[in-house]
Amino acid sequence: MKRALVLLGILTVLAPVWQESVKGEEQFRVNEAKLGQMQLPAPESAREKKYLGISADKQFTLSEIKAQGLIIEIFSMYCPICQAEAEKVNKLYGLIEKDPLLKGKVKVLGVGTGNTPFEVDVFRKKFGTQFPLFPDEGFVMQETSKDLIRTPTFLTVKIGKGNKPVVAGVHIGKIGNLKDFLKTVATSIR
Amino acid sequence: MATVRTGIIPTIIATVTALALVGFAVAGGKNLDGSIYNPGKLKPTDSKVTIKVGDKAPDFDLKDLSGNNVSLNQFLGKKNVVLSFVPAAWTPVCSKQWPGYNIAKEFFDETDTMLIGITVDNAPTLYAWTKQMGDLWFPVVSDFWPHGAVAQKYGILRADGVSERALFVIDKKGVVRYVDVHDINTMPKLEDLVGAMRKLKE
Repeated sequence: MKRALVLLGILTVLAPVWQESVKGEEQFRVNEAKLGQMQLPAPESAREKKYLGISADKQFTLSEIKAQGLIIEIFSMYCPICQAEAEKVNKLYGLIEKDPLLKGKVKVLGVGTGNTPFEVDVFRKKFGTQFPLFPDEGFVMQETSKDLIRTPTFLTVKIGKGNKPVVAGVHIGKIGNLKDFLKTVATSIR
Repeated sequence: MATVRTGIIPTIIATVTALALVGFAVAGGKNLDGSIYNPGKLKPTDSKVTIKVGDKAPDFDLKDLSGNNVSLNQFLGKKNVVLSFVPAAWTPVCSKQWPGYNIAKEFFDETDTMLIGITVDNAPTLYAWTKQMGDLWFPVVSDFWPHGAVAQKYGILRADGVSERALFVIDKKGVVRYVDVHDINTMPKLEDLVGAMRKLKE
């Protein structure tokens, strides 16, 4: 009985520490100013330029995208979960494009952390991705946070006053139920 | 009835261990990165590669994860071969390198090349690790015992007993045509490997 009480005591003391450490592993806190200034290579495709509403030929920043909200998937061609989730993310893009309340207002894009243009192209072709994917060979996305990127990470970004991005949600790992995920995104952007 | 008496210290150790394991399980359940051991930044290379372009590639005969023997010589005159040595299972870069190659099969097919994945881990560890990568189309072999013997033959066994992160492209005559003993901390660019494989067609 005494031993059981000691065990219970230890559990009570350590539980918050454990919860914090797990939470710590799973969080991705973004510096919004750095996110807004982050430079991405302009897409070559006219369709993707039109989708994002940008005219830049070389590089652009997230602040230049014409949208009320963004879903940014931080992925890697090498990440097995990103590969397994690719079809679902494609469906997410499809659902947004079919929804008159979201189409044109919420844009989806992917950033291939550590990936070269060649590697991103392999991912795009393999999974038939229709939304813009950008290479991030120099790990520029990592510079927006002190927390280590885990792939996939989905950032829901609201475009605030002066086109400044405001992170409204962070989801790390598998999407889970697609409709619930989209509902959460839509709510947080409103 | 016999009882095992334990002191308070073992009780604390057992409790902390249990909590740590539960923590890994929860983190791992949501995101596999939670199961990955991070060794931190390592010395980029820690061996002297003995195989260079133009050399005959040393043969080997190792078991894959289904228990089948895989040798280099079995591909002589039939297929080019890429040997992909990765340092260790359940570590950061290694855990993504082969899933990347898994969706790049077209480049191997295009150049009539077989990929063989190889590490110094034992078969059960490799089995559990590669299971979570999806269905790999290429064989993975264990160079566990005699420990790292094949890595040693290629001159890429590090002082701590793991191999370098290394790629060897070997043509159908068994001649080494490309060597990349890579910084262990970083991923080799896919296009560099694809370029080396495409050169085999020239």
